[in-house]
Amino acid sequence: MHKRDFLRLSALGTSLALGASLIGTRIAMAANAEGWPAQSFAASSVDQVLQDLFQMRTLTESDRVHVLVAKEVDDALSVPVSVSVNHPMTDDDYIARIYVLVDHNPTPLASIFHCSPANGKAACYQRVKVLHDSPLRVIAQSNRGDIFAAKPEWVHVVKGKGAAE
Amino acid sequence: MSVLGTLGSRLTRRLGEVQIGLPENAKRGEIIEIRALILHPSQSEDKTLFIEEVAFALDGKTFCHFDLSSMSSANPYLAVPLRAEKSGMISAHWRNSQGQAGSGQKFLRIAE
Repeated sequence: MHKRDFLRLSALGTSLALGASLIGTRIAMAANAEGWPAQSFAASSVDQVLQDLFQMRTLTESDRVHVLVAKEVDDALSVPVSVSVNHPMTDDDYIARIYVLVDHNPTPLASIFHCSPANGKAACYQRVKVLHDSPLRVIAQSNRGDIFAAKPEWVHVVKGKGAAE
Repeated sequence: MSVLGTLGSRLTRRLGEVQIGLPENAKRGEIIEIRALILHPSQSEDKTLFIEEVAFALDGKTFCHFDLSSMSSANPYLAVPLRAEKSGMISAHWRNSQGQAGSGQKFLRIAE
């Protein structure tokens, strides 16, 4: 399926989401998925998130984490974020998690991507909400505990769709 | 049922559906991109309904997964890499904040 088709479906889904009920069947998640980190997602400030995830260890900026995000967005509810980390993905040394945070969102932690050597490359793409002008941070953590933080990217939200006042 | 009713019913069934995109000509050892679009709302005001987890698997074995908050967009569109070592069934499983779940799958064919 082409990307254009995905985007068309996405727009369709958004319009449907308002009035329709979800039909879903309960299925078990994959057996080796870790539990959803409720505490980290409940934090309402970046400091709380960093305390919970990294116990406020010093996060040194690293140029091995590459983040692609628009500096100015007009759809606050769907901001594409592409991340790649220049790091080996071998069985004994690999990036295990990639965190995406938006400082000024009511829930700063947007996502945690758990990857493995099977990925072959530490990278992911997703779309997040950026409800106010805000720095967007990406932090990668290796299986050995090493932490690599990208330089925060400032995202400016043009007052339009989904933007908070 | 009216035409609109029939159409609405058909469209409603699409919610929760997973569309998976795979390369058509993957070669063994190549790092490929797997894309998934999940038709699902994301309500952030009361954190009442959003997708919490999405796991990607090859032949039933998970190789990566996302934990998401209500700050992920509606209709999550995710892309992840995979080192293509063998042909097999790629699946994406989701679970939302109300415990509902769903999945989609597509066969990945690797050229020998």
